[in-house]
Amino acid sequence: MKKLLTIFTTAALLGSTMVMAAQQSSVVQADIDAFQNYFKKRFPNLSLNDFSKGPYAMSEDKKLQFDAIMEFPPFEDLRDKGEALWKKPFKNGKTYSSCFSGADKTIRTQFPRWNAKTGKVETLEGEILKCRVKNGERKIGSGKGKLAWISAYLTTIAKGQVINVIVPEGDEKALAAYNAGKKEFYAKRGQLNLSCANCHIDSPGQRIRGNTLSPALGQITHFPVWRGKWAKKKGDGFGTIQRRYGGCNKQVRAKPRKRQRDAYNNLEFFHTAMSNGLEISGTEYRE
Amino acid sequence: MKKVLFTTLVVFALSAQAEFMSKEHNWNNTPDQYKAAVKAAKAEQKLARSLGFEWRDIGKFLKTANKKYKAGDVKGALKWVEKAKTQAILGQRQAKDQANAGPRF
Repeated sequence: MKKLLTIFTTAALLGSTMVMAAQQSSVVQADIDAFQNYFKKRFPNLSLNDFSKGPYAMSEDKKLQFDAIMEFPPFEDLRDKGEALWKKPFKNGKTYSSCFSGADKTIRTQFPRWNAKTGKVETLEGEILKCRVKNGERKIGSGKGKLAWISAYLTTIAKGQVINVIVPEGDEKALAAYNAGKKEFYAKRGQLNLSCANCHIDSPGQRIRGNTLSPALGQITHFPVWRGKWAKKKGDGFGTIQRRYGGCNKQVRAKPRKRQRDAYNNLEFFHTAMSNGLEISGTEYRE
Repeated sequence: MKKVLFTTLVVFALSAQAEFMSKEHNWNNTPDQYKAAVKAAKAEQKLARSLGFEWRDIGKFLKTANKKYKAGDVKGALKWVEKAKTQAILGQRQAKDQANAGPRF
């Protein structure tokens, strides 16, 4: 009887572990390996985590400039405001934390994730926005401002956490969302007929006017970013990854998609999965 | 006789006017034609958008066309509408071309 009990308990435990930790789709893992190997071969002197520094990893001079700026980051006060907002209770007494599971520093790497119930990809910024509405707070912008500050705070405290986006094996809908994001990344669009891949896979390290193109690998590790360009325009310089997607689309003269909708959420799903294994480097400065 | 002469003169005057009119003159540059062209361009724009391949400036071109139209320049307005429609069609073609887009490594 004892033996039977032990077997049942072990089986139940193993079963629950399998449910808790869904296995990565083999198709997606093959994509990740091919993607990362391409960059490793192309830039043999860079370690995996070096890619999170983007263009700064490819030029010593640029890296020095970056390090100098990051000594006293120009966005520190806004990130602190983000922390204050995160901790400030809503009118109903609850805080943002009530909408998320796990310790605050692990929240950043939980997203983007697949929600099998809704059949949709969930993003960190999308969940923050939903959390506000759920708790009776008014809506806020989806690309910059308060949302980006809060997200920047969560990214900063997640420094060192490893990205691990899972597209569950055998979940056709999840794979379809991943593939939609993949297509969004590789399809040429706009009047200039350029895809994300044309710049960030074919040409990283090369200059486009005054800027150096960053590699697609590791781009996701430091968002939201504070950009000098955005600080000059209307706004405080902060922007989410989906704001950046919109900017890239505009630059190739394509109509940007709406933020926190399927197209960009799926793109974020794919884009982040490609950087699986890299560490979050915290919110950073970019040109 | 006077009536015949008068009629001949009128016919001659009208035909001469038509002869000297610029070849570029489009007899169809009317408000109705403009409205139809905008409708057609917007339909193509909507199709491009549904495919996810709408180009950035189509909306701007249609706005410029509307300004020209309001200023009374129907011919100029039609040029912008045509440009918008062309871009919308090119976006649709791009969607077809990129149907199997993927990595090359």
